[in-house]
Amino acid sequence: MSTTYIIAIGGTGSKLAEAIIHAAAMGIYVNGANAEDLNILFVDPDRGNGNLSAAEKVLKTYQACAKIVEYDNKIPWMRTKVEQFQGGLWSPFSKLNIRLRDIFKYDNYSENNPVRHLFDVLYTKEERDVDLKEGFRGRPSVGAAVMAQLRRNDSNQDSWETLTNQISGDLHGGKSPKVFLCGSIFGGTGASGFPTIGKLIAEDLKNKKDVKIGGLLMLPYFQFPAQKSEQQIFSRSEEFLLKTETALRYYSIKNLKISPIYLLGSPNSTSIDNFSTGGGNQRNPQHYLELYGALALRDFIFTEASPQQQVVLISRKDSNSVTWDDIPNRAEVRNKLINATQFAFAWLSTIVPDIQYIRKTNKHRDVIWYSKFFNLQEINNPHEQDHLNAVTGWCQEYLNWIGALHRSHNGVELINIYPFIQNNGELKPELDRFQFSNLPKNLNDSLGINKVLEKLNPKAINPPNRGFVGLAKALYFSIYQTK
Amino acid sequence: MNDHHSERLEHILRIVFVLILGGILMIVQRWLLFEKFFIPGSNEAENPQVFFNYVYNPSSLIVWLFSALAIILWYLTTLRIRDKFRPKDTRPTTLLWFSYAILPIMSIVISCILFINNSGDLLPALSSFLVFDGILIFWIGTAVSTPGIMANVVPLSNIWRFLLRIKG
Repeated sequence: MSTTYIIAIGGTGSKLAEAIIHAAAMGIYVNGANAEDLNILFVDPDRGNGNLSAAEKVLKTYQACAKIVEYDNKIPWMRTKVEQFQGGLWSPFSKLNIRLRDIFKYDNYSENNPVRHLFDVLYTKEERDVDLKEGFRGRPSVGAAVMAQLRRNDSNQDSWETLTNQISGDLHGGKSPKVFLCGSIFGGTGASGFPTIGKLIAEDLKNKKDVKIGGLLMLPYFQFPAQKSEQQIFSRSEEFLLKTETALRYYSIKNLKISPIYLLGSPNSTSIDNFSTGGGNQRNPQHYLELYGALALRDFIFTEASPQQQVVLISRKDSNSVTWDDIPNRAEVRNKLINATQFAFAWLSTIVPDIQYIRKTNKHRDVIWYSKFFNLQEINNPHEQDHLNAVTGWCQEYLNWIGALHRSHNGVELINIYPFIQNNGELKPELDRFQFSNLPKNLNDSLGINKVLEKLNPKAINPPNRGFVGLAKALYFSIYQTK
Repeated sequence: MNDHHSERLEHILRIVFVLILGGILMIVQRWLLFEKFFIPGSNEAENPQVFFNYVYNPSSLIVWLFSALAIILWYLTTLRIRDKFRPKDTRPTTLLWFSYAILPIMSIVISCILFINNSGDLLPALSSFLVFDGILIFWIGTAVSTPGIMANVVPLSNIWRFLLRIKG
């Protein structure tokens, strides 16, 4: 068992981290007996970024569920230990309301000082004066200047040392630690943070040849309408391609010391209506490319590092659709994704309503699985209620994510989402349990929910195998066995 | 053979097993109770073979056949409704099960009309044992062949499912 340290940079990095956490729940980072631990570090100057808050929420939900499931090796579900690195978030700023001119002490230089003139040439007045509390507003030039100082910031110094010490500790402990950076190439924080942080880490770990450092860059995959804002400095999607081209050119001439680097993009950008310069409102909907991002991490973890630089390509058969044929490690990923989706659906459509039925009528004998997992009044135990809430919370979060991936592009044909997603994108309040077998697209051999319930067997799984935890694991196992 | 077919085969084998046991029960009953116990003190003591050939055997066969028919009909019904079965359907489906139990009871009435009125003073014993046999065969046969999701529809089916180590 080893650990991969994921450095999620900026808003896109947070969204990728969200996809990675969901993939971890599916068991994507489990390969036979090997289950990779993940340690996520978010890097974002915008502490209130909506994408970051969403990823942190998903992580908390995952951890609450994984903790009670206790990493059962009979099933891939929740086998991966996912932690948030000490402190959780690195920000290049130690205080709020900071401008570029403050960071570089611009005002300390006299009017005629050449340093000041150089600064005037490199940055416009708006860039110098804009409040950076909501990030770099799509300006990598601003971000690069700030990110380069990340290690110098006192509040980050300790965390940085802890990170490198922890990696060294893993190495001495016989594990093979890996570092994986992810973010976008077309924004501000990701485009500036990726090469800068990558270089800093590579330098600090240069004597540790066994540490694999890789990364994932997202090419432009969404766009938003041109905005009229009182603020002059904000991200413009019409500039994304130009910025991407410039960044790729820069990376090609610089030795980033990051290998492999995965690049993911889409020719058809998804339109986003709710544009925001940053803060809590910057919550972009999830996109199917983020699933590919999570699968890139899988490839990074389980593929042996090659001494020679390799170019690996993956593309879709048809640019208007995404089918199972377009997914890497198709059979395994398909089974795990369908399994997790059917489990979440079965839990919300069947287990939760059946519990409500028992509480309402007290006819627990009508529910065949009840006596296998509970004593007479056990479901009313507050401890059990917490477990029910933890699993239910994860199921809702997961189905919402799967729904959003499919809604990001009309051609995504992996799961039939309409049994659980409404037309407005929200989860249906009531789910029809008999739609269970209709969830996988293009698969006709799926069993019905009642046959899955008949196969529930607490003895098939490791302890804890009673209560809601045992029921959840047995349900997952039962679906898993039918694949 | 896929999971689906092997499960059905298992159900059918359980039905066959119960019907064979039911047949054996009727034979043992004839020997142990009627030959040894009831007939010696009755009007049929002089010629018990007539009672067995013209009353006991045909009436037992009718009860056995009707019980088998009721079990098969019930099993076919469960196959139709099992995929759409919910816990709240348990009570209405139990009522349906009771309605199927009328078939073996009807067979006893038919037997009474056709044969048992010739049985003289053995009528109460014979009709009681046929009622017992018919209901027992139907109850056990349906208890062990009903798909797991509907197991609790058959009253006290868990006793038989536990004894026969039936999972699900």
